[in-house]
Amino acid sequence: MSLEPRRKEASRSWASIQRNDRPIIFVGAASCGRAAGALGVISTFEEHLAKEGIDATIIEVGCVGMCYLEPIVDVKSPGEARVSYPNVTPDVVPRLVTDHVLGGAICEDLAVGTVGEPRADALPDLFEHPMLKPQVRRVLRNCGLIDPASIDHYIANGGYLGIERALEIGPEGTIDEVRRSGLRGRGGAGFPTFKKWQLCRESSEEPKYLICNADEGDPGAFMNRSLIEGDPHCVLEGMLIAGLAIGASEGIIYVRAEYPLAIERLKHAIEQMREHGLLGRGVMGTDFSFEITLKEGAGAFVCGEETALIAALEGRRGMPRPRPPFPAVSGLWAKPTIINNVETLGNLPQLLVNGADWFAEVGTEESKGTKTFALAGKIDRTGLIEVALGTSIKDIIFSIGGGVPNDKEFKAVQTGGPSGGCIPASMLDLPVDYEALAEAGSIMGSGGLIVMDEDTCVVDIAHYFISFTQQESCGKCPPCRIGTRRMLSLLKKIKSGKGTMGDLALLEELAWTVKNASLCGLGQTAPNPVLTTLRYFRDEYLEHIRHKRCPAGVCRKPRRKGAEANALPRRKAAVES
Amino acid sequence: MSNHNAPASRGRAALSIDGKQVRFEPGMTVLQAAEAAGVYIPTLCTHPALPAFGACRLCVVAIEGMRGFPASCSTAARDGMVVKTDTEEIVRLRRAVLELILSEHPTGCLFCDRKQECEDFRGPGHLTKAGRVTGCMLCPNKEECELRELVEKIGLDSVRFEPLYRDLPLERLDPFFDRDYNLCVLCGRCVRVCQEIRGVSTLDFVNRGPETRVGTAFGRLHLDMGCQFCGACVDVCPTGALADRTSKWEPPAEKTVETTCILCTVGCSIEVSASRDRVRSSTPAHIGGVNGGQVCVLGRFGVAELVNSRDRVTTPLVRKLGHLLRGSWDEALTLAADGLLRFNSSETALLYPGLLTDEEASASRGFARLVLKTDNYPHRSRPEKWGSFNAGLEGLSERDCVLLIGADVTQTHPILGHNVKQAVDRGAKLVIVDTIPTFLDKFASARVTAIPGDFSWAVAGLIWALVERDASTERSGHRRFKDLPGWAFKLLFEEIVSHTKGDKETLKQAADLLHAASSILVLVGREVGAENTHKHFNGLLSDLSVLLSSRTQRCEVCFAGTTKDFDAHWLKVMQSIEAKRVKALVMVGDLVPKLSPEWPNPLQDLDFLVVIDSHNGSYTPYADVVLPSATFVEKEGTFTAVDGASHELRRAVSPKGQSRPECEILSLLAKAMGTENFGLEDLKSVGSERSTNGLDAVERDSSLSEQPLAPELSREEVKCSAEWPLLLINRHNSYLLHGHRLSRLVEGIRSLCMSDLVRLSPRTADILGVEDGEEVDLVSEKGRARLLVGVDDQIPEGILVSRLTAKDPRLLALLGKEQASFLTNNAAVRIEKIEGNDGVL
Repeated sequence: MSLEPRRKEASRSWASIQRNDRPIIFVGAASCGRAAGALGVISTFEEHLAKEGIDATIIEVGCVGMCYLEPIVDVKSPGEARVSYPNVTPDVVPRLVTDHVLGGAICEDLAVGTVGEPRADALPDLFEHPMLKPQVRRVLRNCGLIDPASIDHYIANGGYLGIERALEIGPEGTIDEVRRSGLRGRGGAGFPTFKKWQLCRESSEEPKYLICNADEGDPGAFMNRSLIEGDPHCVLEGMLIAGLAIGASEGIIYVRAEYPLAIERLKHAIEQMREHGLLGRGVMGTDFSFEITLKEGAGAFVCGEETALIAALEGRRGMPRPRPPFPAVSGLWAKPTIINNVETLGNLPQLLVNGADWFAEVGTEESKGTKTFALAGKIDRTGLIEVALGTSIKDIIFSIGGGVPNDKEFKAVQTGGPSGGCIPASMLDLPVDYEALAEAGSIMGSGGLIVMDEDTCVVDIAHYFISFTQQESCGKCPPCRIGTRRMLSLLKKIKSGKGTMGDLALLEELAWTVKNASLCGLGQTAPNPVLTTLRYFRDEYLEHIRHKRCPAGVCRKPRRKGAEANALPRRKAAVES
Repeated sequence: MSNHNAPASRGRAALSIDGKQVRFEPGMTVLQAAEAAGVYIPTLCTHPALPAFGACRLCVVAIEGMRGFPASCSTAARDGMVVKTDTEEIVRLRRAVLELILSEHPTGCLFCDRKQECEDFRGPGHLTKAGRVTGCMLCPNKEECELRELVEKIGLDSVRFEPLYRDLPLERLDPFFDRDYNLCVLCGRCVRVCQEIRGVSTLDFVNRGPETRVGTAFGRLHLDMGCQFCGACVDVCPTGALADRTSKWEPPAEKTVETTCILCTVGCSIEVSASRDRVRSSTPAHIGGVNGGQVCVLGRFGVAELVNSRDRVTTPLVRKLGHLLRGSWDEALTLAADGLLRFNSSETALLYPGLLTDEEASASRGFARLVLKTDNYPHRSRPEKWGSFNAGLEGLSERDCVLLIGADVTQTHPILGHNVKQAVDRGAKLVIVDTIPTFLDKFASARVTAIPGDFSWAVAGLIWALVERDASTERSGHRRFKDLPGWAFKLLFEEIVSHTKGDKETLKQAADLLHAASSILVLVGREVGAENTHKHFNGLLSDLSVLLSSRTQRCEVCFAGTTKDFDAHWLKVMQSIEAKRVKALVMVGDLVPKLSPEWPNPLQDLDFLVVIDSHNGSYTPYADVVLPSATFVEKEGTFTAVDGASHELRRAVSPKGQSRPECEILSLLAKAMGTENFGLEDLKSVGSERSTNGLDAVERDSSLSEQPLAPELSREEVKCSAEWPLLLINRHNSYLLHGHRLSRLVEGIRSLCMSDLVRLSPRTADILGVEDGEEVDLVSEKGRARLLVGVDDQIPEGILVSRLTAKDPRLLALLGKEQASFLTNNAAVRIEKIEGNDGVL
């Protein structure tokens, strides 16, 4: 079954959005939008539109990345510009309905910009916004713009052209294209994608499996979730391409159960693919057959580690095993298995359509292409961004993220979540690529960036991340299970002003042990937050130990604040209560 | 990878460990290569019986060209590898990891400053009392502690961290072993042996992070988790976390003796450890034997308790003035001889149990024949029939297909079940034909349901599906099938399907698996019941084996646990006693059922009873003389297992009290009866007969076997009707020794037996209006019995499953006196609620 007839219909469907004959209201209703009240906004819109008797369409779109402005509502009157209104609350909905939808007058005081053509004179293009302008949006190109529940919108925007090209040039051609592009795994470690694929492709074992790792567990990271919620077909098309390249006939998406909306979007999209002959026997009328199933994770961070993920898929306890053998040789059910991150797969359709040279246009020598980052913490513009690899941290935080709010001093940024490290203000010019970050003692990770200002205590931050990893350790190997717990108790001691120089030495030694002796990536990277904070902010640790003082004023606050009760010696707290 | 291994296969592969060239066999890990070369690498989670786990991180090494510090236990050795095991960093890492492990394990005994002085009082022969008085004996694992060894080898003398004691309660609610997870170091050996070797999965890691523990799902009891209490977890534990309750505070073993367990007919090699001439514990022998380092609950925990039981008969007993009193051997032997000589030879009989050594079985038969000169004794040498002697148990794991027909071998022959599971692990396909779900179901590739009476149909179905398969692939099968002498061709496929309750697809799937296999073992088990004797069934079995035997295929049919001939003898003797044809009996073991109103004990009709037994039994009111015999760990001999393989018994301790081996007793008794020289010579001749002519030589040799003792075999199938709507299937638990129920002698087995339960499906319970735990009456045409209801969602509808022993009076009542030939274990019954019983007890 060819997709050609569908393409025409899809273009018509997409064109009807561009040249609408009745008002369309786009509501950013990804998880971030919903958290900000998008569903309440939608129901208020419905109510008021019904009251005014207006026949309008409401479309739930994904997140354009400006999460701090959610819920974003785009209003498009017939033939007019698509105008974006940020931070819409149910209170302003009546005004938007009466003034804009009914009266045709753009509420300029509320609007932030327009999207696409036609434009409105008084308003800038949304993509000229300082947060969006410096970005290179490839993976996220559709997010927030198309209806994620509509396969037509995806097809009309160049969807499923990548798999067509891949089918044309064949598996070897596809692998070669990916090799030339220099695409590296976006899950964190940055292993060249083609190498893994080739290993799997060359194996004579059958069947082969492709797993999409959507078990995004880093605190403060939401790249995968946003992409799936905003453009699920992009990831699914990537799976088709990868499946074709490695010779798999079954793809499995391992997705966190904590992402209900993403799961809903995926289920819906898979159903659509099946309807259009993009899944099952003979994809698009060729002899390539592929099936995609969904598996919901049960909430263990360690299941993002590929061997633990495989164990979980096989119905066993999610515990990593030593590698080699690598999953590409012996993975799920002891068959060759490729595990790719959501973003890696999301890169593939565009890479195939536009070619390796186009892909490699941006990026650095070793790190090609773009990378999405989730900006969180003490930053003005929280959200999801995509920049060319090699962009400096400064550009990301200050140009795109708008810097630190409330005139506070920027202190550090944590990259790579609990497995990554703290990059201090002095290293702001560091380009984000795999090698530079590793050099600095951190990792690229999956793309979480947590910004800290002067009010953040690095000891407290290290304590937070270690408490996370020790909680999430699977318990298999002693360095990780016991080592992180011991590190945590030392950090607790230092935080509460009882630490000694001996404790600091022990902490460093423990960090070294845990890093070198642990079985899997979780343990091996767990000490990174401690090691980097010790490397760049040793003074603060010493301040805690020598002068029993927290320079940021976080640790050991007055008792009645309650929240810091854990910083107090437990017995005293008990006596008090 | 294969390129790297190519030179290894020529046996020239070598790697360098700390500069030393070390040869290794292909498939070895770095750790194994180092161990073979005598280079010590510390490790905790590795165990020879288990695949690599890579958890403890003590065996880390540095390998040129590899990132970080790989664990040597999980890294495959490769030609030309350069391995370092003693760099400064590795030593530091190891010490740090061990220190972390010990920070969560009591270290009082590891770092005690008086450790050296304490050493003098360790080892065999020393009591542990001192340790308990001084308070440092927290741990039952005194001599085998692997942490102690690690601490010494790595040279750690203190832990810098605050010790963390988990303060978990000691888990003692399950039988046989105690679990103290405060001592656990989470090496995962127990979890892996339970999951990967035994396939039971009672244990797993629970919780995560620092709270990770070993435990059962939802903290339930092992008894409720399907634990088989094989003790494999206890044997692999490197610490004192898991400890055998009976030997936990016993002094260390003075000697260990490798012998054979004869508590069932598999013939497992076990190691019996003893101190001060008392059995301390029994563990599987690590090397060799049919059991390959594994053993079942009987062999692991039953032996010591059985041998040291307070129920042992330790002196001869004689009846004086109506009381059974202690006497001397001379007195007892004289009394027994005089008593027996009062009767005609045709008025005497001898009974012996299934599980005796070959010598004892021969001596018993010889005694009956030559001394008592009677024909009333079991003629078959062994109770069980196996069939093909080419198909030994040891070769089982090399089969690529096993077909179990009514053979719940995990229950009847536990280690045989384990061997089947291992064959599956190695890639063999398992096809099961059975009524109710069995433990092995989860390893089966195909399962055909057949209710008792319809096993013939199931076999016919398999034959049909095989033939259909051949016909469709245009092989000459169709013609071959017509040539078969059996019955199957007369049956219609539709009829077969209706009888097997299965669909065509299952039968076809099973046939496909059988067809694809090159070496098939068909095991026919006890659950086939009465059908086993049908010409039908045996004809069909031979058809099946003909069909599956060709130039490329080998198929052997064996029987496990069918004891019908033996039981028939037993019944015949009992009937003769009741009819007063037999007036004097020599009984080896305790072979009579307990008194029950439905069937009074036939022994009361005897004029004279001599019992040769190791434990007190139910004969006490009737015995005139009791002669104490030794248990199997107290004597020497040979034991022929179910598959015909011969195993050796070695003496681990001397016979308790005044007890003596059966052979000796029979020889003394013969002498007292005036038959000189009965004994050694006879036994030797019996031995040579066995080795030249096979097991049944004695039977064929017997000139007296003309008269058939076996009663007419019942050909009637159990049929359910409106009046008796439910089918009761009794699945034996085979825990018998000399007719004694082990559940009586071994405390833990009692809780395992569940002999009062009748299990049924939740829907059946709903329809009948009975609840879990309710006491009900089971009524059959023949009688009634009171049992407890157990609701179990694994049981098919309309079926009741009980696990009563073959000679349980309740079972005999339900089956009826005439039916109690053990040819069938099934009855059509109905359930009656008990009046005035408001439900759950």
